[in-house]
Amino acid sequence: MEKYKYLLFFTWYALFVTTPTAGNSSMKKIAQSKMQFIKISPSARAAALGDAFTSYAGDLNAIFYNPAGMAFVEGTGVVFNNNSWIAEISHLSGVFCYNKDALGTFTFSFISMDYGEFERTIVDEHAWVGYQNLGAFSIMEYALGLGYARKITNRLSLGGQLKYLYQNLGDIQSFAYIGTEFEEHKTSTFKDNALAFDFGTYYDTEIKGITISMAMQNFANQPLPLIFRYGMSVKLHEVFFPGAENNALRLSGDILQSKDYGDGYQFGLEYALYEQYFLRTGYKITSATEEDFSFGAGTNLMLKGLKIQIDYSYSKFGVLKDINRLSFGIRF
Amino acid sequence: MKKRYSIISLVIMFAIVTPGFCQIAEVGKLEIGELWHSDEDIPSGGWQVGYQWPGNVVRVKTTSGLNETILANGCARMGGLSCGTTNWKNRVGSVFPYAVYSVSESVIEHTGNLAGGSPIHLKIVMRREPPVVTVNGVKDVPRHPYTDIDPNLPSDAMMSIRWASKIGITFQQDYYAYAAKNGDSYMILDFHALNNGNTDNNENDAPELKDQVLTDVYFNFGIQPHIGFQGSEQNGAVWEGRTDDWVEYYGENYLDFLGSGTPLNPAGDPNADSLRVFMAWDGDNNLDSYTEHDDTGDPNRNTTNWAEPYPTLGTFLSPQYWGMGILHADTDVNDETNDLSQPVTTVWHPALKAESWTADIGYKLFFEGDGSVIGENWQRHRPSPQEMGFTEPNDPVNVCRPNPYVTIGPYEMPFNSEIHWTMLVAVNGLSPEKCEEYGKQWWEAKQGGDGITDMEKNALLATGRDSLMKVFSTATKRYFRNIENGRHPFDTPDAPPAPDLNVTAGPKSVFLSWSDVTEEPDPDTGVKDFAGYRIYRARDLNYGRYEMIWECGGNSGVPVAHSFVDTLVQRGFGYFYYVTSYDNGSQNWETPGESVESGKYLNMMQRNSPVIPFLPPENAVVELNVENLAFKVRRSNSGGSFDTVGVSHHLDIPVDDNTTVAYDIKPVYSSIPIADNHYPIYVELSLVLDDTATANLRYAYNYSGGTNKTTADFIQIVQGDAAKNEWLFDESFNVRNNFPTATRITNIFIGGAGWDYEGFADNIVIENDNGIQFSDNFNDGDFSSNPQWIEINDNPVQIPNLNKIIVVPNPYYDRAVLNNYSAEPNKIMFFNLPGQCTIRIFTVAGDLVKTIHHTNGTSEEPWNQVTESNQLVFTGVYIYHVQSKYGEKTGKFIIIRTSTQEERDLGFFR
Repeated sequence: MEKYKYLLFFTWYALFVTTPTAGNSSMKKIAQSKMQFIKISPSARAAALGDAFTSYAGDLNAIFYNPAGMAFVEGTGVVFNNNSWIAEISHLSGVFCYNKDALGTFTFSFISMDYGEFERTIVDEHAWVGYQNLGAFSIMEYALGLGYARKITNRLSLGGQLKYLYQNLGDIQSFAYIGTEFEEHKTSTFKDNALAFDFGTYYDTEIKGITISMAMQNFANQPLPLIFRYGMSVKLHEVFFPGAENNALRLSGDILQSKDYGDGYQFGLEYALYEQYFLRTGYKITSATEEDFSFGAGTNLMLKGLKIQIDYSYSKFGVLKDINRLSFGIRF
Repeated sequence: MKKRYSIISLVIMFAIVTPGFCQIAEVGKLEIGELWHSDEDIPSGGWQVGYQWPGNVVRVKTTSGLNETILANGCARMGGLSCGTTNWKNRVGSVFPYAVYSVSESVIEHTGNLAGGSPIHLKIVMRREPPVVTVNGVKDVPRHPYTDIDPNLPSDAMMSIRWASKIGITFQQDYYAYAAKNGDSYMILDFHALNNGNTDNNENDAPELKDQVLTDVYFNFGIQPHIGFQGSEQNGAVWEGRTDDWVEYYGENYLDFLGSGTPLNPAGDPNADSLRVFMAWDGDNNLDSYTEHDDTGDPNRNTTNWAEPYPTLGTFLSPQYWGMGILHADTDVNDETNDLSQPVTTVWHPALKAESWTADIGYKLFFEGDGSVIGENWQRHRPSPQEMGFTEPNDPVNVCRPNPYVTIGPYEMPFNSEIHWTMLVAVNGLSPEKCEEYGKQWWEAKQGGDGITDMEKNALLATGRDSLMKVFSTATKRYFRNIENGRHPFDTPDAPPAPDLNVTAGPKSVFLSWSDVTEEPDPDTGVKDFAGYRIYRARDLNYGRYEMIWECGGNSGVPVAHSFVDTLVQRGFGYFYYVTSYDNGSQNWETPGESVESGKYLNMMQRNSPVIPFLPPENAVVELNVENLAFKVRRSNSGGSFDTVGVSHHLDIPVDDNTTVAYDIKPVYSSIPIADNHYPIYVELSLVLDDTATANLRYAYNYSGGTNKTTADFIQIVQGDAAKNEWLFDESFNVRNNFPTATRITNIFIGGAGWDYEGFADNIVIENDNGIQFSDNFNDGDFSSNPQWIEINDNPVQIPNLNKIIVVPNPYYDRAVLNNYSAEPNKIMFFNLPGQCTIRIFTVAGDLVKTIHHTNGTSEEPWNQVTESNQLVFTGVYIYHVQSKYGEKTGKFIIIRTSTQEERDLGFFR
């Protein structure tokens, strides 16, 4: 088992150290994969930490960042996330998980996009303005996931998730002038789906709270946004103020390697008071998105034996304005 | 490897240059009339396309995903010259009983080195400087590159190719091409063969094969027919090896036709062959996998295999009849008299039949025309495949790809002697329009509807034979008549020059101007005969259907002008134009009085630079049906005259006794207290009647109808209390009650005037005896929640309504050809933009895909769905963000792309 662990660690370390040089922002492949919605970060806590979240284990939302983190969830839990995404798009998601140490953790997750309405338009050379506005239409996109994570030792875990992605982009209509009448020609619906697989590892060094992790997401036989995440976090208070458990400060960093663009660098800082009240901030450096700073706060409450976790985050998104996320979780 | 090529060359026999053989140094193009031709510096007609007809009516194919376009309407290719002689002596003195030269590698082992040649020149000569075409201020790449201008040229353009052969003859092959309709479907090929002993590209150094007398010399011109490149490919008959063309020589007994007469005045048998034409046309491919119908003419049966726009199902893709023949051949080296008994032989040979001949057999078969060397019983003229009883044009052993050869000779050529001969190449057939029309009828019949049968289809296509004969006859008669009348034999009646053309996009309009050619004399007579201009236009594709949209001068009744504004165009679409000039026919020496028009290709706009009309931002947003109609008058600088602001809309509604106008209106006096300097006047709804009188309905605060009722056209004054900030619902009035003589409502205006005022309007309905004629409920919105202010300052500006920004088409679906910009695959438009703004496009995950700076002042901007990294985006939801000085707008749109990379590489959907 020890050999296995070191092999994993070594693999992870090799990737972590070598990828920043392998990545190259000139190799951008933006918009060269479909189902882009699965790249959107669901969790308020993770978003507040700049999505530097793969090295956080035990959070109900870990399934969206590193399935291996689910192995450390205790008991049964459910979480819902409401993400007021750019362009007035709502990004809703949730996780239900069940953990039994002997068996591992079983997870069900979903992501659902609410786009509101689109305006259907077509080119019409006979209209004065050159087009016709044919009114509103709606589309549907969602992802469903079944995950499993397991501790190999008390310090090492593995996890994976199989996802079903579905997309219905609405009717494909075509119109033509039949004589002088403008008529609908034919209608079909554009639907697409895909199966994707996520995989992750997590390792706690038990030295100064240093955890390291690696996750691969959206592995599929179709052009999906394949992402590799390499993360590490350290408990700063253990480094600088050993024993100051009531004022915990944790720094995390992720390197994001994506098929869509070169490397992204994400950093998060979480301050915890009595492990109950949290203040967070994060920063992202990517070559493609408008995101940079994020902030957030959260609390863990015990209420009639239920462990309730409420998190809020605020992310700046450049010209696309601000993103607000709210997560609400309960553990039994 | 070399062996393999030599088998292929054997197959194609004389006239071939494959890319494997040699590097082609230069290619020349003649794209002047409807018959286009490209050729190489050792003129072998080009591997892919030699002759094309009609010139520009093609369908786009891209070979590499780029914009490389192949003109796919070829008719014949790899046409080239060969010659044979006897007892030929090479440089070291070896004697060959038979020697055969061709522009390609020879199949004859012991004279294998005689193929190919050394280029001496390839020139494109034009009679006039070609017109300059400028689109939106940028000069188009010249359509027709040239090397020389020669005002005495008898045609509009000429391609001259001179090269030396290894047999010791230097050849010159000159193509004469014509732009005007009276000669645009044929070319004259003029040949000179000079036995100067030269075999390299230097004619001035010592000849390599000095003082050789060439005996029994024959010259032979052959081609590989390829009727309807696109057609044969379209129907699965891949061009390499499965063509289905027929050939036939008409002219075996031409001498019987002539009798003792001349070509213009024959005295012989009128039933004999009156012309000398070796022709080729498309047959029925019965051996192909798709055999359930007669595919003569290659009707299109598949819409998915072509780049947009698709040919209509059934469209004949191979309608051409191709023909070549002899016009002149010297009698001998000392006698230039036209030997009308030529061609001495006409032979065809199935190019797919892999055979090998020694030089003597090849010489006897192709030059002497002795069928017995291949076990057949014919001399001089090989009967056509059909005459020989073959029924399958793609019979791979006996017929397939029957290359026709026309041979003159034999001549004895002493050193430094020359033989001159002249050929005619012509193509004709059903026009693209007819191909579509009849093809559609045939297809409908195939689907069980009404239409035309196979037999009727074939009969219609066969009219191409008569059309070809007509062109041949016209050109032949013209040739001989010119000689009789002392003209240059290649002359045609000429048109005035095509003018330089300037085309500029405007607001839903295109502005054209062109140079003045009214003073240009006729090249043949030097007399001015200019009559007028015509403008032709095509949409989407420069090879689309052009229609004449305007004419001036001549009998048109329109004075001669040099500019025109085309308003019958649509924003966002690409248009192509050409402008011709035509004469009054007074200098037409062939058909006096018949006008000649300059050709279409001389100043036709180039394929990739259409002119795209647009709408300026003001027009796009300030129309009556803007959402949330509301307006505000606020003038910071008091005093002076007040400003009026609002929107107006042109109408044309008949007024009858029951014509009423109903409306809701809310006049609001807004923020600034009444004071001497801030004095509101009114909010109004007004109609213009019969283009002159104005009917105003004014709602005023502190407005005295009495004192301000200064104009006679007021029909009603309403003392609305603007300070109450209330809607006045269901207001209405009868037009005739107030304005008895009104016959039409020609304009409606809603707005206000003053220094500080706001107004709202809704539910405007104009109704007459015929029901509701006009209604606008302004989207039933609550204006006040999201008003679009039109604000007047000292410099009145109208603020674009960013909420009106719209993406067209949405969703974009690559296969929905009908509702996309068919000629510009992947184009989507952002409409109703402010004149200047920045558009950012993101994936739904927030990745920045593209930034577009919209700066041209129009209300629209295209995007070709290509990212900053030059990649076409995938299917998905995309976000756009528009940033301008008037504010920001974020929106979303959808792109659906189902075409594969392979399809796009092939040019489908791109």
